[in-house]
Amino acid sequence: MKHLAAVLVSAFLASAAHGDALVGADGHWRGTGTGHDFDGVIRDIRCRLDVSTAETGRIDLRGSCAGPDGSQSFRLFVRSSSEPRRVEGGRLTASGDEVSPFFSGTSDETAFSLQGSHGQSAISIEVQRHGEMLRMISTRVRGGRAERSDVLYRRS
Amino acid sequence: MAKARSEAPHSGITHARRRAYGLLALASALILGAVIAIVRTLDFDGDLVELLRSDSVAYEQFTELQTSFRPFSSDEVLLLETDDLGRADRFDAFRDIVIEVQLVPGVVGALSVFSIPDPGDGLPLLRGDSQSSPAALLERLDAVSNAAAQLISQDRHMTLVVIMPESPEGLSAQARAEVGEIVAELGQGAFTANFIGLPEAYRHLQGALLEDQLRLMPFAVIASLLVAGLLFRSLRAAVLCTAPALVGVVLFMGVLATIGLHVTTIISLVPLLILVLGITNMLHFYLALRDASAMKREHPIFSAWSAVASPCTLSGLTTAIAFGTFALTGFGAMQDLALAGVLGLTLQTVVVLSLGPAFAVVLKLPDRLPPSPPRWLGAPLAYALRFCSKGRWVIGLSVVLLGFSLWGHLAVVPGHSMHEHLLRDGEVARAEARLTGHLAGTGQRFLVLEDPDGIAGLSEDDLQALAPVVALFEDLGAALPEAIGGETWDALEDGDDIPPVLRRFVAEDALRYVLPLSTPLVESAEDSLRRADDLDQRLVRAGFQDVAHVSGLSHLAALEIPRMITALKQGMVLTILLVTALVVVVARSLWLGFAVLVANTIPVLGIEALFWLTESALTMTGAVALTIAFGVAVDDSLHMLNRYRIEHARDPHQAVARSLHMVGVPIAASTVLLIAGLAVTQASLLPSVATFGMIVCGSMMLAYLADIFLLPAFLAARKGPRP
Repeated sequence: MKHLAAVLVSAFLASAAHGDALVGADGHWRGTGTGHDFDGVIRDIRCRLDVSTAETGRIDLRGSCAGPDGSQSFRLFVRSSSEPRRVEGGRLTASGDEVSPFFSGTSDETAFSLQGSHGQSAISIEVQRHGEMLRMISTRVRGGRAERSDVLYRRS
Repeated sequence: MAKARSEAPHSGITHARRRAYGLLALASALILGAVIAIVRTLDFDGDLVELLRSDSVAYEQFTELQTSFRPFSSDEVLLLETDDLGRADRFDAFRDIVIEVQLVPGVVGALSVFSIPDPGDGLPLLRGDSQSSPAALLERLDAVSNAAAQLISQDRHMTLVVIMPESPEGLSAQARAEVGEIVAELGQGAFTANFIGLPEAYRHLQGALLEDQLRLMPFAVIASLLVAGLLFRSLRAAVLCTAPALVGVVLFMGVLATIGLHVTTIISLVPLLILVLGITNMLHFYLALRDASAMKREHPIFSAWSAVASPCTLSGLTTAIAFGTFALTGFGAMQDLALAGVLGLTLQTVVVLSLGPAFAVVLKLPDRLPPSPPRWLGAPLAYALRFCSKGRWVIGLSVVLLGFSLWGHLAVVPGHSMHEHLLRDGEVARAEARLTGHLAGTGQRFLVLEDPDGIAGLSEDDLQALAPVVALFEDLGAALPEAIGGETWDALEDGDDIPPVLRRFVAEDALRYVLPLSTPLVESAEDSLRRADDLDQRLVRAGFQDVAHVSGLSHLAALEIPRMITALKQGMVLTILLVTALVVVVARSLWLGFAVLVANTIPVLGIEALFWLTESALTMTGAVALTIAFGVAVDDSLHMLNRYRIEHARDPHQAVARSLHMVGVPIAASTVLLIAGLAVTQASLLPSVATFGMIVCGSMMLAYLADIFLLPAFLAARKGPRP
C-alpha cells in the first residue's frame, strides 16, 4: 500500500509539474501572418516555431520570422522557469534585445505569456492554443515606436 | 669447366630476374603505402581564392573584405525561373519562397527584389500594396531602381535571390536541399531553382577534380596501351611502356597526399603529364632495347639503359626547369605547382630508370625481339632530309619564324575568364549562359567605402560625402543603404542592432562600408580585364581612389591573373634561356644551344603568335601549358643531339642523316604516344585541363616538325668536331 501511495503521489506531482502550459503543443509549427515593423510598414511574414516541454515543466519556445525584404527577422528564443504558472526569462533576438532573466509571465493549458522590459525596450509575447492551431502575438516598443507581429501557426 | 661456362649466363639471368622481382616487390609495397595515403589524406581543392594567393595590394584588399565584412564569397545565389513573376499567383509564391528560405536553419538572410528600397522614403519598394497588381509593382520597381535590372529580368521570367549563410563555409547540403523543397512546395511546380555563383561552382569543381583524376588516368593508360600496342604490335611492348610510368604516378600522388599538397585545378594537370612523360621515356628505352637486341649486344637491357639514362634525365631536368620557374611568379598556387611538378618529374625519372629494366626482365623482352615500329612513322623523314639539305635557306626561314614567334609572345594580351574555372557544360555554366542578356549576373565585385569622418557610423555628412562616389557606380546597382545611415544610424543603440541583412554592408569597426556591384560571373578574358580597368579608372578619374576601392573575387581574378600571366611569360623566357644554357653546357657548343632554342621556341611561341593573330587573350592555363610544352618539346631535340653526338660518320650531313634515321622514328612514336595520352584531356570536366591538353598537343606536333625539318639543318651547318 505504501508503495502504491508513493507511486500515486509521484504521478500527481509529475502531472502538476507539466500539466499546465500549452498542453500538447510540443512539436514543430509553421505560421503565416503580418509583421508591423518600426518603420510603419506592414509586411506579410512567415514564421517557424519549435515548442518543447521538459519533465520539469519548463517550456522552450524557439522560433524565427521573416519578411520578404529580408530587413527584419524576429528570432524568438524564450524559456520559461520550471515553476508552473509562472514564467521567467526570455530572449527576443534579431533586434538585439536580450532580457533574461527579467521577464515574467504566466502559463496555463492553453496560453503562455511573457512581458518585460530592458533598457528602453518593452516586450510582450502571447501564445494561445486554439485546437490544432497556435496564435502568437509579439510586441516590442522602443523609443515610442512599436513593432508587432501576429501569426497563426499550424503543425508542420 | 665447359659446363660451368655454359651455366654462367643462365645463373646471371636468374640473378637479374631475382633482382627484378625484388625491385618490383619493393615497388608494390610502396604502391600500397601510396594508395593508403591517397585514400586517407589526398585533398582536392577547387577554391579560386587559393589560386590567387599572393602578397599584392589587391589580394590584401580582398582578404580584408573577407575578414572585416561578412565573407561575401560564401554567399549563395539562387536562380529562380518561372513563366511570369508579374502573375499574382506567381508573385505570391515567389514572395513566400523568399521568406521561407530565410527561415531555413543556417540562413542569416536573403536579398531579392523585395529588398530594394524606394528612393523616396527608403522603405521596401515592393511593400504590401493592395491597390496595385504585382505586374504594376514590378514595372514601377524597374522604372525607379537601377538595382532591379540586376535582380529580375525584363520579361519577368527569371530572378536572383542572394542567400547569406550563417557559416563562412557556406550553406550545408541539407540546407540547400531544404531550399529546393521550399521552391517545389510553395512554387507548386511552376518554379525551377538552381544554385549558381561561385560557391556552387566550387562545389562542382571539388567533385570534378576527383572525378577527373579517376576518369582521365585510366583513359590515358588505355589510350597509351592501345597506341603502343598498335605501333609495335606487341602487348609486351605496350605493357613495358605504360607500367613503370603508372607506378611513378601512383607514387607521386602518394607523395602529394603525404606532404599535404592539395590537388587544385592547376595541380590536377600534373599527374596526367607525369604519366605521359613517363610513357614516352619508356618508349625510348623500349626502342633502345630493340636496337641493342638487334645488334646482339651481350647485355641488351644494360646497353639500352645506358643509351637512354642520360637523355631521359636531361629531359626530366628540362621539364623540371619549366616547372621550377613557376615558383618565381610570387603566387602561392604557382609555387605549389612548381613543387608538385619538380617532385613528380624527379620521382618519375627515378622510377622509370629503376623499374624499366626490371619490367623488361620480367616481361622477357630481350629474349623476344619485338617487331619494328610501322614504316609510316618514318615516312616524313625523307622529306625532312630533302628539306634540310637546303641548309642556309632553312636557317634563314627559322630565324624569320623565330622573329615572328617572339613578336607574338610580346604582343599577345594576357586575360582571364571565369570559364576556365567552371565545369564544361555544367549547370552553373548553363545557368550563367541563360542569364546572359537577361540579368547582370553573379560576379563578385564590391565597392568598398572608407568612413569620411573617421567616426564609426554613417552620419548625414558621411552620406553626403559618399553620394558622389556611389553615383559613379549607379549603373551597376550601387546604392547606399539609407536604413543604416543618418538618423537611423544615430537611433541604433550599437552595431548589433543592425538587422543581419544590412549588417553585411558595415565593417566590424563600422569605419568601412561595402556595396555590391552587379556584374557577370562569366565574361570573356578581354571583357573581364576591360571591366576591371574601367571600375578602377572611374575612381581615379574622379579623384576618389583614396576613399574607395573596388574588390571582390571576380575583380581580384581579373586583376591578378593577367599579372600572373605576365610573370608566367617571364618564366617562360627564363625557361628557354636556362634550357638553352643547359644544352650549351652539355653539348659544349653555342651553335647547338642556338639550334635547340630555335627549334623549340618556334613551336611554343608560335602558339602564342597564333593567339595574337586570332585576337585571343593568353589565359593562365595557356601560359602554364606553353612553359611546360617548351620543357617537354626540348626532349626530342635532346634525343636527336644525343644521337648526333654518338654518330661516327665524318661528314656532318651524313651524321645528321644517320641521326635522323635512328631518332626520327622514336621521336615520331613518342610524339604520337604523348598526343594520344594527352588527348584524353578533351574528355575532362574542367575546361582548364582540356585547354592545357590541347595547347601541349599542338606544341608537340609543331615541335616534332621543327625537330625533323629545322633542327637537322642547324646540325649539318655546324663547323668543327661533334661534341
